[in-house]
Amino acid sequence: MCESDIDLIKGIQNGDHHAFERLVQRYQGPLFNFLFKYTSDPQTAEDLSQEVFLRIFRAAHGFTVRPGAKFSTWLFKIAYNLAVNEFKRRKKFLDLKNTVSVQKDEPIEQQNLIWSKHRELEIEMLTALKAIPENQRAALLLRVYDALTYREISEVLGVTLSGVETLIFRARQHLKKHLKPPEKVKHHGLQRNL
Amino acid sequence: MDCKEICKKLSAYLDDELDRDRTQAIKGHLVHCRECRDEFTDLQTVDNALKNLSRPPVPDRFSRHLLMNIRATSGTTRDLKIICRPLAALLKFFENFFELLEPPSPLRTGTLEEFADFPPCSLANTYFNLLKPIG
Repeated sequence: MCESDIDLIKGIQNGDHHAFERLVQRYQGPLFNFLFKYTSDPQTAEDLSQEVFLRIFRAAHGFTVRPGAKFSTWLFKIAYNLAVNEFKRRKKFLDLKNTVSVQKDEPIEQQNLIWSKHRELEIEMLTALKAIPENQRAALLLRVYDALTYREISEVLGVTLSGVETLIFRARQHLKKHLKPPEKVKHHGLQRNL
Repeated sequence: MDCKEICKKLSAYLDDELDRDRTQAIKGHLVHCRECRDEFTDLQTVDNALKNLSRPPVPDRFSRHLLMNIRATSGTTRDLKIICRPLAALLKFFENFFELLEPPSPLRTGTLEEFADFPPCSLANTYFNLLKPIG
């Protein structure tokens, strides 16, 4: 039987540790994928994922089920806020560009991408993804991988609906530019600089 | 809607986030405008390229570490509660015990004059002077 997220949260509230384990099993993949692609660093992604689940476990007892509220929105909101704070923390003390394990000038091949099947395309895509602004990246990842609606993304990122639309539009334009040869990029409808 | 407006909305159209009127307008436009159709195809290509990226496997140790962390955190809190309750009771007992051992301190009372700082000609001053023992 497939329990809903809310059933599992209620299970945690009733002291059922297995409910939490099932929730972790369900979301660890999407969460790790989001944080990995958002931070470009497997270790940071793992640490943040651990922290997200720990926070959910501690806060689950106070979780109130609002009509229309989705667990995944809550999960990604915690993840996004933690990742943003992590970026801020690093920027405060060090220059982030020199400290994250995927460095801008360093070819991404140096990374441990043993999971990659189509290495070249993946490297190209990950590099392009890393080059776009953080909030655009988060919005696009949440849309493409986790199928969050614009309303849910606006809750996660704390921006307006039109803001989400703009972020995703710009993210796609950036990726398109990066993936296409320069002469084919300019289009009759979109010749302004983004 | 002209091509420029259409192109701005293609991303939201791809995500099925537009109202019915706009969706119909764009759908109709794409049928006869090849350039906008190409633009739309490009956006789909970007999305497909993203979707085709491998999903990094979650490290095997992930669940194990998480459960260990949770047990450690909740275990520490529980252990602290177990230790703290009898300790607090013991502390209270000794506090009361030593209070009993201390010789009772005499109550310190001040003289009536210590309170005689009312403003002159005030009602309180008048009452105070009436109550003050003579001499």
